[in-house]
Amino acid sequence: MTTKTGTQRGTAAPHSGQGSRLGPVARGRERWFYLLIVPWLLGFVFFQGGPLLAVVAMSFADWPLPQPPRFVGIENFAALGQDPLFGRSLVNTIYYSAGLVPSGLAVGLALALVLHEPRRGVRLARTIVFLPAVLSGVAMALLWSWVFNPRFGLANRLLAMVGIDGPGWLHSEAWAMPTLILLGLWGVGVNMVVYLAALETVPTELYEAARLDGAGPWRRFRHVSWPLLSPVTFYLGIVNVLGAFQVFTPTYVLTGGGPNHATLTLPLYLYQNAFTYGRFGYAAALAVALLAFVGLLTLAQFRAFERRIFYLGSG
Amino acid sequence: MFLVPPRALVLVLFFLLGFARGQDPVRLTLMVGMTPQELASFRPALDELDAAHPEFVVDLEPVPQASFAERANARLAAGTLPDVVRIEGLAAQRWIRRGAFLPMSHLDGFADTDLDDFYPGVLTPFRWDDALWALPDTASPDLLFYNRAMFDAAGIAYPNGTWTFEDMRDAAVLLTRDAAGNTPRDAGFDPTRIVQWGWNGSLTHFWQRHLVQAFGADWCADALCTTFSATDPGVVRAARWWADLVQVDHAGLYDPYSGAQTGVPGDRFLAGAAAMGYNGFFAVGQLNDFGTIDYDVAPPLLGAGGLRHTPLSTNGYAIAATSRHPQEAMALVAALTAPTFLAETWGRPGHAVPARRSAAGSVIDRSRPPTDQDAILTAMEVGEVFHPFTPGAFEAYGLTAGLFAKMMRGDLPLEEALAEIERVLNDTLADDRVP
Repeated sequence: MTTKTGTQRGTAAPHSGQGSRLGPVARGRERWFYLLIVPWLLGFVFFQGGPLLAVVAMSFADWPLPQPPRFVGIENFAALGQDPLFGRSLVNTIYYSAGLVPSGLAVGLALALVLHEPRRGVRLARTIVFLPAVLSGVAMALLWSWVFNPRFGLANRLLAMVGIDGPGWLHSEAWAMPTLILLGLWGVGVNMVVYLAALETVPTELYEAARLDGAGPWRRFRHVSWPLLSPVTFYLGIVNVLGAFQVFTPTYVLTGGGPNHATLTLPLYLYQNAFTYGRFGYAAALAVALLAFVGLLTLAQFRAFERRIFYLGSG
Repeated sequence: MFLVPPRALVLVLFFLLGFARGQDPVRLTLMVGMTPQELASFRPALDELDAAHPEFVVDLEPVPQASFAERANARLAAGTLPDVVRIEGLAAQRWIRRGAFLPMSHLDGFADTDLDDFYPGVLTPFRWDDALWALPDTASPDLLFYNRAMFDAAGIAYPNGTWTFEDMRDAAVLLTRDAAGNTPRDAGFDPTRIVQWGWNGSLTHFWQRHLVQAFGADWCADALCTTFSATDPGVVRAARWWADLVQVDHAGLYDPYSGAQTGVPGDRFLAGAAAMGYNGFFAVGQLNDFGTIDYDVAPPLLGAGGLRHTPLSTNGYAIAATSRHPQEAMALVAALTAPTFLAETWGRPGHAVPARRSAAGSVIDRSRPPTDQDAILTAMEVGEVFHPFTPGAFEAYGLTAGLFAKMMRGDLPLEEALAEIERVLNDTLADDRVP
């Protein structure tokens, strides 16, 4: 009771025009807040914020290790425009994201809708679907390389059983990226779990009201579930796009960017520039370009979808 | 009673402490990127070497081969590169030219090194600016590998030291099979459903200089191969020969590694889908481990003028420029490249061929395949490190591999592809050129 009063007093103060002084309980909570975020804050400053600033600084330099970095102005950024592989890797990354994000959201939502209903074995099914999300990416990638082996793999053997001559999968220029997108869906369990949690928050009386109005399953989903899931879809859309633009493990382990650069994504190209070609300054410029592109894309997502999000109780 | 003055006692103690400290062995760090199999034999051998050298203690820092560049770059950036680094020949120049290592041949302990004992091809990537910057320990020359069972089934005599590229081509056509068992010379042959290839590859990347030299041409226009003349008429003729092997004879692959052409990822010969092809000596160990392919090797094919050309890969030990103990590090490198150590550590298990003539014979083991093991030493004598090996080589490879595939596949007219390859390579390697 005391806590509740304190919280109300503490949060209400700025709005009530009584100054920003907090009550003792709120001040205590504030202290705890700062104390508890100190480890994260330190981690962010030293392991993310610091390196981020260092990468931005490096992008304006030529740094042929072990020689000291040399300031080159915007030379690295100017070189991006002349580099055909930068354009190719950017297009590939967009292709991967455009393929994976919508399908990942759709499959995650579909699985959540199916596994939301209390049926026998549903918990086991949820666990099985989520399991790949906690397994090693490298191990999974190697496993899939066998499944999609054009000559010996399970995928083509199954297709052959129904008379289909399977494609070259990861070894075909046309099929390599679709195959990677297909593999990306393997980690869709995270989307499913978030959707499941969101579905739990949809008030059942809304479904009952819709049912009384004669709405079938599709209309209940279209007019009740889907609008109320829109904040979560928006969140997952942003997080999935961020993740897709950072794709590295499957391209590094399975294709190395091939065949013929068909799966060369920006993060892999960035890695190759840094650690294979030893061009750290240029790699940093690629990282900054990637950051800027993802930042703009996220901003665009906010602009495009923010007003279409329906929050329960928002009127 | 005789009393020692306290001041003298302190001096004696200082002297003793100083003497004791002077006897302390120097601690050296050695970073290597090896396969688990290589490490299994290298680690105990290094322990023995360490015990035999009281002047230093070696801390081995093994790094998985795939992570070697990341680790080494991180250590370079931090200024903590290990005293001695085992480095790939193809990657060495990038580090040497940037001053990561000490010029080994300028160190005192180097004078005793018998450079004539090393195969000539293995020293090349470690030379720069009139100095030698690393000493090689091993090499892996390309040999002609062939699948004996496929030759037997086709009734064709095995390759031998007298075979030329034309002999290879004739056999490759007869050894290529489609899913129905037809060869390219049979009426019903279907080139879209080939299941067995006569030759594992074609002219598929710019490190295959030897396949051009085989026809009396050379696309390297300078000693370091940083200037390309891929449009030279001799090069065009050689490239046409290889393109015909793929497009006309259907007996060679345009993509030996990605698998796009056959659906077999990795090496087709090792997968049992090719009858013959060039491969590094390291494949001997892999094939012997598999034990599923009845194979043998032959010396590199005879080319124009009766000459053999073959590439080799090599590894060597370099001393970090930041090492505080360069002389002791030099002693360690000398021990690691001593003929006895090379013979017992590298020759015996057959992972790679010792880089010194006096130790290379240790790789011969008649109790295991292949039969023609003398071919290995023949290849070592003629082997040259992959050219170019300068800092921009990997980037140049990345930019041109696709062009080679399109050229061999016929997606780009051959002359046009070669002109584009020449332009890209000359642009990419421009910074590597010696003024």
